[in-house]
Amino acid sequence: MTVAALASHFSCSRIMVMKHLETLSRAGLVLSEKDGRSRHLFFNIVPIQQVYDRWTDQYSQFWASRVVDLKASVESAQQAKESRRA
Amino acid sequence: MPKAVSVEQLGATKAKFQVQIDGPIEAVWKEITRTDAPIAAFFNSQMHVGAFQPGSKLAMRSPDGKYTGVVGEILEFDPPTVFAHTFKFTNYDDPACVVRYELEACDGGTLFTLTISDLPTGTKTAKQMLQGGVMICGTLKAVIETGSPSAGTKLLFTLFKVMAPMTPKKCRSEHWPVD
Repeated sequence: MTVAALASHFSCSRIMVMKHLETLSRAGLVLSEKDGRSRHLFFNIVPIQQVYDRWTDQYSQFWASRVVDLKASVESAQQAKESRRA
Repeated sequence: MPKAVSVEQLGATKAKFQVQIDGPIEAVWKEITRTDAPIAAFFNSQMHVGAFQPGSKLAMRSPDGKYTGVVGEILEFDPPTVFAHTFKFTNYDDPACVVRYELEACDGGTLFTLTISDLPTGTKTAKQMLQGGVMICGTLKAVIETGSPSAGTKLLFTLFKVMAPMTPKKCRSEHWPVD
């Protein structure tokens, strides 16, 4: 995704979006690559995984995963019910 | 709350993964280009190459050499900073994508970047590549910094070994020569 495409999703100015991107880049969460006149952005998931690994163990991973699955399952069932009503 | 959308759902044809490794660039380069032993960061597969030069064939085989999971052709080889090759899973009929490893000496360590491009969207290849990037970075970091992969990764390698007999016949190494 280019910076311009990303900025189009927000009501704030492009300068403001660039400032947020700068912070995310410093944290290693956003990587960018120049392609001609545009700059493409990539989400770097590795730092998130590192934080996850640091703060979880195999037991909490298992239960956290189950809870997330439960949330997804209940919410998708609810959404399906609502869309049938509509 | 906005619904989360995965990178795969976005239909991206390119992805990047980056990690800072506390180790010299030469050590990282040696690890990702070694042919004398399985490479933990590459799912414990052993690299076989005709020669380390553009145009040469490459294969990632099981440690016992019986099965070949990935084949490709070397596109760039510039020690110790750039190694790129095409990447095709032997068990899928999907088109090949391109992997590019870039290494940069940085802050007393190495900044390792993996770029995957030409991802065939909506395929099993794309899904596996996007999932695998994180593991490659994490395992490479662990191997360079501690000397071995995490316990969980070692467990996964044991599982691969146990599951090896279930590998499809078309992945047998005799079908994928590199010479």
